[in-house]
Amino acid sequence: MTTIIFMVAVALILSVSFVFCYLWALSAGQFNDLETPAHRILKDDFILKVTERKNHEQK
Amino acid sequence: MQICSYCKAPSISGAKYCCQSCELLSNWVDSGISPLAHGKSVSQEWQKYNLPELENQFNNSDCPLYKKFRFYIEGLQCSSCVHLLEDFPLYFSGVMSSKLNYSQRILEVQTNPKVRLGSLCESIDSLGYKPTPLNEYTDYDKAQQLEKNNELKRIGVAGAVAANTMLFAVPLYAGLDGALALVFKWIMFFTFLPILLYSAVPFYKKAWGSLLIRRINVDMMISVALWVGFILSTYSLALGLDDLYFDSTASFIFLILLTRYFLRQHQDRFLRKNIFEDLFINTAYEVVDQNAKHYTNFKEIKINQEIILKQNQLLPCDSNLESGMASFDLSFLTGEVHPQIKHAGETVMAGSRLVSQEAVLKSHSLATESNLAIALGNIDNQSQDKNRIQSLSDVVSHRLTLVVFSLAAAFFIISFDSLGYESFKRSLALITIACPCAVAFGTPLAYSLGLRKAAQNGFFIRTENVFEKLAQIKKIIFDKTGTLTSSQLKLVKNYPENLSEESKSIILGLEKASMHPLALGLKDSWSNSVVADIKSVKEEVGSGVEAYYNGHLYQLKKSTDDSGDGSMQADFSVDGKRQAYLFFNENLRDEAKDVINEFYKLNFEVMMLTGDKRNRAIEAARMLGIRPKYVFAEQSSESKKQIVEEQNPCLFVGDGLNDLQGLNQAYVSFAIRGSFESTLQVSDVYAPKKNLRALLEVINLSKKILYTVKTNLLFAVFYNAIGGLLALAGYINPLAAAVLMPISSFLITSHTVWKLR
Repeated sequence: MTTIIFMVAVALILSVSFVFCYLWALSAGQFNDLETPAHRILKDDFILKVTERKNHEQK
Repeated sequence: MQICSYCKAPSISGAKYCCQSCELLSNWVDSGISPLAHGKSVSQEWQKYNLPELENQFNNSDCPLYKKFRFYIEGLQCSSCVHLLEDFPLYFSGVMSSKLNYSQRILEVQTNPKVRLGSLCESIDSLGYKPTPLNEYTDYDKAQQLEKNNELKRIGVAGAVAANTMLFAVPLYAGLDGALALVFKWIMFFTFLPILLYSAVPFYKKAWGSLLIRRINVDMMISVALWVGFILSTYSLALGLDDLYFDSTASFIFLILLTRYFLRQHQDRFLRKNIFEDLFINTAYEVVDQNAKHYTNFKEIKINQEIILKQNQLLPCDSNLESGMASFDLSFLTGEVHPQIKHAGETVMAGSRLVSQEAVLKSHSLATESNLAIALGNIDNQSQDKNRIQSLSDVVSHRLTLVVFSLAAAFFIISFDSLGYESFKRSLALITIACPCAVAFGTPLAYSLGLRKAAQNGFFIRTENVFEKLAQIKKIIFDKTGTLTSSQLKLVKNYPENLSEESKSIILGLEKASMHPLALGLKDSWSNSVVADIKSVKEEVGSGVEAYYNGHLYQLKKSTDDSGDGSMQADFSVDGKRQAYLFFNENLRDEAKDVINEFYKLNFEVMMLTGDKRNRAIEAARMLGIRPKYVFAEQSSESKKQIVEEQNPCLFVGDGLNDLQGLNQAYVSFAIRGSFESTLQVSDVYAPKKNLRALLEVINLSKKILYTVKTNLLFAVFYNAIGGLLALAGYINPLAAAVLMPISSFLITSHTVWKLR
């Protein structure tokens, strides 16, 4: 019985904290642009390439 | 298939790179060639944005240490475009940051004060994109973003509540009893409160709003069902009974919020914009200030200031013509194709486009106080009222509400003596169960799918009630100029028929600089011929052009106009001797006749409205098969408005801002041209990349959508009638409600999605 009460409390706390996480993410603007970050992430190795080339030129 | 050697995506054209941005990036990364060094050549157009007066209109920064610009970018294709544009600071010195929003196609650039907007536009153009500078965020944009965020918050909370109440409801349905059951019930009560007090607030607001104008809409039904569900559940909780509807009500509210959000998403991109500013903001006007000439933007032009208007510029203020004769294209104001001649001292209205060479005018109004500005301002106000119609779902929910409430009341009064509390419970269960899901979310779902489908097919629809309105219409009014015809004239024939290439090239040379519809038509017909390099062409306003070339005097003069059938003749002469005759006519759109025939088949009355001369209108109508009695010619924009009003409900088809009055007044309006945002302010449907056939497509689409909506409604009424009867007979308990409501939601959703797939 106590286990169930404990589990219920945990479930409630978890759900409330998830709602707060969501509200925070929303007000931080994480859902404003859903498309560009997916493209942006492909860029990392590209910058690496440019700096590599620059380093190479300096040597 | 060929694979792009930079991004490894399939290259459709079969070239080494899939797009220009990949090629530029590849060159930069591998060989260090700056993307700007290899760009294509750009137009001189951008230069004007280097002018501080013009640039300031677009600078969004309040701080003098940096500038901030926003662009709408056309031509984005792939990830490489994102990289190329966001790496701007790496190859364009002076740019501090550059951020692209790919889904909205908006680029935000922050630069140091030395960078000029014009050169920024030039470089973006040279990378292969078309930038349109946007002026400041309006308050409306900000408010809309805020509202969207609030809506998402409400949906998130409603979703969490629905899931959690359901979690605690399941053990109760499974037969949980005793102290733990009581705890679970109270948890459900408290978790339900956020929906009641927070998520559902928009419903209360709309319900209250419609109550104020004494109408019943679907939001009222939802609010009532929500509160009835809550009161009934709380009441039985207090009495220690089992009738808890928290879970089914919560999931119902969550579903409605979700579908409404998707519907709004499709409408959101049509931001409100100042139409008037849109017209003039991109032009630098040359004015005379204390005998010194300088360039400025349209807002800075004062009363009684001299404006030196360039060819093809749009006049920003109502003015008097100071220099000699000049010819103006008034098609923007009246729809007439042929330019009008104005003499010195005559008044020229704002919105007239100069066809002849440079002219000097003296303003007698501010740009913001011209007749055009006032007319456009009125339109802004009117178009807000226009969307209020009694929609089908409003009508249905109105009747359903009345029926359900009177049934519940009647049942309660009749059976209270015999049933007691049970009677109260059953009537409330009836109200909760009979709230029509189809109206509440089947309809917005169908509309949002319809809007998406429309956008995929290349037309933009401003509000969803267009679908309903289109189905009621049996009259269609076409604007002539620019809609049924293109605004340039077409060369029909020339005599002698085999005109030598040399003559063609000289004629083209004469008309090289002209913006007259006739000149445009010639350039179009003889696009393959060489243009002779003729200097110092003398243009006599209203009659024609002449020039000396290789020792001969060449003339191209208008010989007859308004010859009765709407055609026009020009004579080409060498040293005063006539050598050739050219005949012009209005250029009808290829598909116009077929489309009009289709409308006759659909039993539409087809009409034509134009500011142009009667004989020209009748001739065009004859070719298109429009009955002469339905041709309204020589109309001013004021009388156009009246005619459209008289013919309502009608569908008006125009070509954008040109037909503002008509578009705005019509029951449903359809624009086939014009700048994106402003046109959408006044027209319901906008198909920029389409021809007139789009009209038929839209009508077919709305028929399909309306059919789906009606089937949904019919099903819901049937389903709810059965549910209501069961509730009155006492068979509906919370478990039955929790099963019945999702089933009907599921059936309606899948039916809608399947029909509009």
